[in-house]
Amino acid sequence: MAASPPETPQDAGLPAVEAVGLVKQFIVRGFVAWRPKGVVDALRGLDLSVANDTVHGVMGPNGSGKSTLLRILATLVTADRGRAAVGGCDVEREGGAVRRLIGFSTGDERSLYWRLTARQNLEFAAALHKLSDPASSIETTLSLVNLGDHADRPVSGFSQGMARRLGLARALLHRPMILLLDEPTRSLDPVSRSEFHQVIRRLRDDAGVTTLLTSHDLDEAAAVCDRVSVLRAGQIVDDVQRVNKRALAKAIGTL
Amino acid sequence: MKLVAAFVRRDFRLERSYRLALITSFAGIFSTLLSAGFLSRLVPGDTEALRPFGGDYFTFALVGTAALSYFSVALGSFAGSLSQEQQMGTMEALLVTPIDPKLLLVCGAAWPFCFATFQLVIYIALGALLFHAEVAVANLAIAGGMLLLTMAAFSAVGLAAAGLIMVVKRTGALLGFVGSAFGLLGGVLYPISVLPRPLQLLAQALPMSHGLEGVRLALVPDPDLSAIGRDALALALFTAVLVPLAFWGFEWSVRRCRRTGSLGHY
Repeated sequence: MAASPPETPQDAGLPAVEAVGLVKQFIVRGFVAWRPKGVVDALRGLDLSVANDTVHGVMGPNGSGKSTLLRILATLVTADRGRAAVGGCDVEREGGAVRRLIGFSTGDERSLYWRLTARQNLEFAAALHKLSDPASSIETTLSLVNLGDHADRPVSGFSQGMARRLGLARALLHRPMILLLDEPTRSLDPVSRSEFHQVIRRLRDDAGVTTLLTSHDLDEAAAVCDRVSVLRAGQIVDDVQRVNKRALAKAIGTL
Repeated sequence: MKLVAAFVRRDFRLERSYRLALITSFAGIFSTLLSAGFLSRLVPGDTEALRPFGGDYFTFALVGTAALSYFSVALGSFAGSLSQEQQMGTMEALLVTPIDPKLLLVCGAAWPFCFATFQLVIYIALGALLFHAEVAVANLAIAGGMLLLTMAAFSAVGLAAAGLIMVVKRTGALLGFVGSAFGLLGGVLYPISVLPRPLQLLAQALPMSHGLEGVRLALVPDPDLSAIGRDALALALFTAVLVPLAFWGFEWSVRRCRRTGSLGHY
């Protein structure tokens, strides 16, 4: 009897995210298109494996390639060389399947419709994901990020922290298996940041959601990550498995 | 259809939140109507060139300007909706959903089309009620069909512009030039028969001239169905050739932006 195909990467023994030899260069264009001003090496043969049901951090200085990595995994940017898979699906060849599996938040409040309410933003996102019961998904997700009482307020009246949480709610709305978060707590106050960490941990523990997040913050990585990869000049230079602030500081070279 | 409805609902809500812009877009209808009314006082009605279209200049200019503003939506709305997403910073959030970018493009233009249709109906209705434009109501279905065919042909140009805006990020000046060229050669304020012969030939190569001629011919009593049929065929050919090409161009642009990492840039 033929075995039925695995439904999740866990079933198939695959990592949630896998990248092998990723290379990405960005060309800095001049006024004349065929005479570029220079080339930026964003990723230089990056290898990464993220285990299922974990919170995996990626740390590194500005320009080290963190956001490029997340954008390649989210199918927004194409790698020049190498391959990457999310939930067992190849990001190049199975882009649609990858986008069904992931929730992506850029951490940029501008990615919301500011003149709409929180609920209206999520109603639109629910339609894009073709959710069968959008109203109940929206209620549940807004409660999860503690925005239930602000559902009908325009986003323009939100604080940065609230807007970030709404961005997270949008990424979570369709119950993704894998969350990709680009500096999700940048410029949040300590209370909002702590609430955010609780949500991420709860998603891992209660729903088995794997999170890959980028951060500059040692405290954040120590508080929420099970494992941290340190990125420098487009390559993973260290992998911290027993995450604590001292080990992280040593790995990123601030100790 | 649910997806189209979601885009229309979102855009209506956004539009409604800019109250002054909404009000002034309606005020613009009256100024256009008045301009056509005053212009018709200067232009003699029953000239030979106008005779196939009923002979009334006000009706000729009203249908021309109303249709031009409608066709402008087909020309600019695809690129416009993408440009808006780029500027608001919401483009990447759209493109990480499982929806095909081509479908996102088409749905993004749904609200501008709905709004423009509403404006067109008001144009014609007010023109008929207040300025006694001579519109044969019995032929509205034929005129509507011609309008849809013209929109489809124009949409090909609009879709190509959307592909262009993904790559070059700003196409306002280019679309303005294309729009004014269509206005000049398409026969908005005058029949193309008054143009010099070389320009007439150029006009025949544009969907605009066939669309306007077809709509106008359909709105006179006892329309020349064979002439309308020729215009419809020309428009169908434009659409069949240009729309697949434009979609292919848009797909290429999205792939290129993924390579250059500029999907969300503006």
